[in-house]
Amino acid sequence: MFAVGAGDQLVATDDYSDSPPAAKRLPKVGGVQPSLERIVAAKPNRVLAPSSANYTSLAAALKANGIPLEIIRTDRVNEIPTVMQHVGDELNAPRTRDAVDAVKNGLARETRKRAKPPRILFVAWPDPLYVGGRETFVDDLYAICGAQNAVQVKAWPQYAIESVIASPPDIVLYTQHLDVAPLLRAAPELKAHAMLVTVNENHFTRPGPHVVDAAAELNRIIDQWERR
Amino acid sequence: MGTPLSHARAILILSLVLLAAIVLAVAAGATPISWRAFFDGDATMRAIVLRIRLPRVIAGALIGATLAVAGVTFQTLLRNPLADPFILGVSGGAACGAAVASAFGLARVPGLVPVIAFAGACGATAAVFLLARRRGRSDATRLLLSGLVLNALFSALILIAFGLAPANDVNAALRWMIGTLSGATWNDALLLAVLFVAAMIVLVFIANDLRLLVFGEDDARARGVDVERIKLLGFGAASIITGAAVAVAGIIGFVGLLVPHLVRMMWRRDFRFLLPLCALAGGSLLVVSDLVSRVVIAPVELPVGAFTAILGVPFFLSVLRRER
Repeated sequence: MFAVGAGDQLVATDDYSDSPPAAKRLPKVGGVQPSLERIVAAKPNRVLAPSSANYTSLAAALKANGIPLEIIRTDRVNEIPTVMQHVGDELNAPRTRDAVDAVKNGLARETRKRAKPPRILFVAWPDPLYVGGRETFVDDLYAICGAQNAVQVKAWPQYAIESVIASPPDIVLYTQHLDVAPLLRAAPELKAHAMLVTVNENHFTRPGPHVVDAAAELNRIIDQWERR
Repeated sequence: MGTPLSHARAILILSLVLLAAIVLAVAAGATPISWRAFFDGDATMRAIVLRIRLPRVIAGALIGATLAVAGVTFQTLLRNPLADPFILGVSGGAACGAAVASAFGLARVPGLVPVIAFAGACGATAAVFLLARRRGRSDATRLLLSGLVLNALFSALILIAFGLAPANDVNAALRWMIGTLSGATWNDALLLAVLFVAAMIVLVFIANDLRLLVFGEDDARARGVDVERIKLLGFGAASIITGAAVAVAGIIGFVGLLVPHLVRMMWRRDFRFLLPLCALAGGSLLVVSDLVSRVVIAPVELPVGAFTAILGVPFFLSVLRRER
């Protein structure tokens, strides 16, 4: 919303919206289970929600109050400019075109072909181990940055540690708040064979206009790995 | 009822089953093992077998044995076939401890949450025991009711903790709610083994008195059993090992409730023989369930609790059918 220049049309956000700083100042309506009362009290014309959440009962309750709920699907990288265009058009947002172009051009700028693509493991949760598989947001980022996913499985499953030991990845990514110590105790090979890097949680786990920053961050990491 | 020979035979059969389960579970997994490379000292093969699979399988056997032994102990103490570590609130206490600790961000302190889960399990048992006590005695129905009520309280606290916690910290608590043997270490296996052996010594020591409880507490008292002391020892031993099992692997259902019944239906033995038979059968069930959960769509791992039920229920029903 802020990227396409429609930030001033926002009347409230969920508890997690913290970027840009202006989003923090807006009234909050709750987290995993948002408060219907607060949403209605904010008098929105429409409610936007990510597809990662399950809002079946909320959708029905909002409908009863005459407020449509629109699900924003940004699970994959190529959905991000499409969704921005769609939201921007609907809201007549002034910077839609610039914002969509910025994402498209930014991603084109960050696209790399590498002679030896590194195999990357994205640790979504360290204990038990959950990983970022194929056909996910992080997998799309690997493709853009000229890397490969170290795992063959799809989506975000719990994953066998022994498979990580049997074919160690070149790079292990995890967000800054995760404690990977239990994983490294079980698989110290990762310390020896892989480059362990923390990444920005907002960029890598919340698909949105920040995808360009995520791609740039990933390219810097891979460049560093190549120089080793 | 059984002769010493058939007791020995039952123990032998189940020991062989457990041994076969362990061998199979170490041999099979997401990665094919080359035994030639393993014995030639290949570092990867050795790491997978000795550091990932073996401690996980041993911990699984001990946790399965623990849950089944705790289950049979609670059922005997309470003379209630529905009693198990979960119904009495022991595992609920552990999960609640883990969830509340995570909600306050304590999951970011390495190694703290298992300790809190363990404390939660022991605290829950103490609370159930104290709540059920009246005039120096604890009545079996009151114990079960106290467990049920505490479980309701724990569920409520867990839900509130989840509502308050940041999304990442909720994930930390989910480990204890789902139940998994992933990441079990030799330290876990060693801790479980020490506590399990200690608890078994206590339980074998009081087994004869526990057996007499079957005829009712007053009857047992008349035969010279110190019922309150037996209860305290039995509950204490079963709760401490359950707490340790839940701290390592989270909540794994079914084993504690149904393995004792299965063993009783197949062999109809008194408590002294139920103990080793339940330990062996519980260990086998969890080792096989964990094996299936990690190979069925490897390298993806599925929740082990689903497979203890999927494997155990048909077996249980077939025995139940034959019984009639």
